[in-house]
Amino acid sequence: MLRLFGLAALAALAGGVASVERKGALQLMLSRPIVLAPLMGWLLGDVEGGLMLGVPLELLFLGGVNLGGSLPDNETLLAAALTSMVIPAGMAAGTGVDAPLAALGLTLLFPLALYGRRLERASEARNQQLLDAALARAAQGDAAAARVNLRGLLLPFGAAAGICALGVLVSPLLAWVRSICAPGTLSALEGSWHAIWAVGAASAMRAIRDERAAAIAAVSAAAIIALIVTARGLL
Amino acid sequence: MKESAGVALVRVDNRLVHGQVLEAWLPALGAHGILVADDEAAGNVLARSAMALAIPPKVSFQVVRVDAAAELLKPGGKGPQAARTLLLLRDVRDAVALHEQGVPMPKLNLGNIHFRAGRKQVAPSVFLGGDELAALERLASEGTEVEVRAVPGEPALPLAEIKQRFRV
Amino acid sequence: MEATAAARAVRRVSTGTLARAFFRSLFLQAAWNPRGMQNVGFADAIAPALEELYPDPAERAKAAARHLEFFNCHPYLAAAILGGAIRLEERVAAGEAPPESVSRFKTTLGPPFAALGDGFFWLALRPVAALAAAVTEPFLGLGCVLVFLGLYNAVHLPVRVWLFATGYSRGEGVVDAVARAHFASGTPLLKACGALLAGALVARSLLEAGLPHRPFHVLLVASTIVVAYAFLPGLGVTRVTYIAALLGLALGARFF
Repeated sequence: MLRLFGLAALAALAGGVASVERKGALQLMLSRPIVLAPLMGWLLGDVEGGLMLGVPLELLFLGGVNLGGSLPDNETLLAAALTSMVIPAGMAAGTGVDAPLAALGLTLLFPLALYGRRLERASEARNQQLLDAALARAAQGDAAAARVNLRGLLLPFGAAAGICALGVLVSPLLAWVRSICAPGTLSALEGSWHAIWAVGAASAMRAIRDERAAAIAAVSAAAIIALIVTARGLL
Repeated sequence: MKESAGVALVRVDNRLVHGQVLEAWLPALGAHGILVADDEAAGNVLARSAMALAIPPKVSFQVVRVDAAAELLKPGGKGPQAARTLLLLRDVRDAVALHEQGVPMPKLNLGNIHFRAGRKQVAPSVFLGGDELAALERLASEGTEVEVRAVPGEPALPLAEIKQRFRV
Repeated sequence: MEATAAARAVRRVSTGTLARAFFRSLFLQAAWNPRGMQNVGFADAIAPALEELYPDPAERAKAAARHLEFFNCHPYLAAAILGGAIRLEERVAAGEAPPESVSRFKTTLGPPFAALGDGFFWLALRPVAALAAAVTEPFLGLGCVLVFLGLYNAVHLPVRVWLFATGYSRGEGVVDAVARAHFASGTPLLKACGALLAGALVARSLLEAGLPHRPFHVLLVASTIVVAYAFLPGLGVTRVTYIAALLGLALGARFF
């Protein structure tokens, strides 16, 4: 039990920092799912499991882009929460992160990407209070009025940290669900995971916003498949 | 009302040429031209060269004064360079000016109108003054469909909804 | 008078102060807000330079307040504008240029530079680097994370520093410098690479479902990809993922 709280604290810290890095600070892409999920996996004790979650998530949200005031889905919040919940669940269930568990966790938490966008809007609205504070201080002749800037990081940090901690704390429930799955359910969930991957591949082609992208991708896919199938002597 | 020959969309955007316009609207409209009608940009060499820097090579690009744009776009005018052009205006008053000079305007998109004293927020990136809202209602009564929408992937906010949000 | 003469000579900001301003620019969007967008972050970033340029507290406060005006750009390209704004502030502080010249510089360059950054970093470099990582993952394992971070930041960090330095050293000339750097000329090539890599990913998901000896599964996954591709723009990733997951559930129960 104590261990679970320790993991929750770690996940909260990592998820909080990532949600800040995503837009408010640095933007070195440490908060992208393909980096964040293995990183949090490592913190929580299963780096490979994190990578298994991170790659398809990265693909699903590859085309999301923040253009001016228009916000994309929040892939960071989803990746952080998913890792927080699925990694400890896999360890508790003794299965590690396998396709059924990953599919289960992802379908359960996917709305967090949309929720994360709403959270960002709320955070922006709150930042207007910081702007008001800065303007008031500047009007009084304070040349360091804009130092309130960094306070804008608190809300995204706190919200993501709370969600990630919660994810770790409810992970035993997910582990329990995973452990009572019948073989038929498991193969159904595995099918689900392949389907999610397929959407990821489609989303990857969409992310390259170019008229010829789909055609180039189709040719490249066909060539690679032909090459590998021939090499394996399966034809 | 028939749309002006060659104009795919009229957009009011304080920021004129930026990411939303080039990366989201041009592909969605299938447009290959941008016409900026703005007195200040037309008279500012730095603004023109910075904008030209961002425009992809295959997209035709013109910056003209609002009056000159009216001459181009009026029925019988020369029209813009490209067959499908996105017309960018800085402010609502420029749209009104074009319309008053006879430029057909079946649809008007409001993308980014920044905060200024006296303006109220009606969408995340659109703030309007009472006079601007009145001007938009006049345009609407003469057949222009007014919407607020930053990027094509978002749902469009119709004028009725804008009015409601303004009153709150 | 000697004091006046000294005040009118252009005072240059020290390298240490420039470094502090650049460091603060890494937090440009911390207080992003609809009314001023990146204004608070920009004002915070330029504050160390203003502190050095305006010894008089009243003058300094006035300059600081000016920078709380609306500002928005791409967070990386904004470094060029920050550098240029510091250069212009040096001239304003020396009485060589009016304060409005800084505002005009910021509002003129913000949007077009944003377009450059959005097109190059967000829509070309980032997806392509991530695709390179996803494609190499079966071979490199965790190393693929380094492929992504390495490819991306090997371009991002030097460019960001270069933009800031060039903005500062060239002022308004930064537009010519960026034009000569052919900043966006790599975009079409990057996108072509991205499309090739996306194809490799399609191949990967087909092979993972279909090997060994499950040609029917390949067909199922291939049709899912095609249908998802068609519906993604209209339905959005959330709905498409849920529909596909449900479909996969039904088919998986039957076939896997």
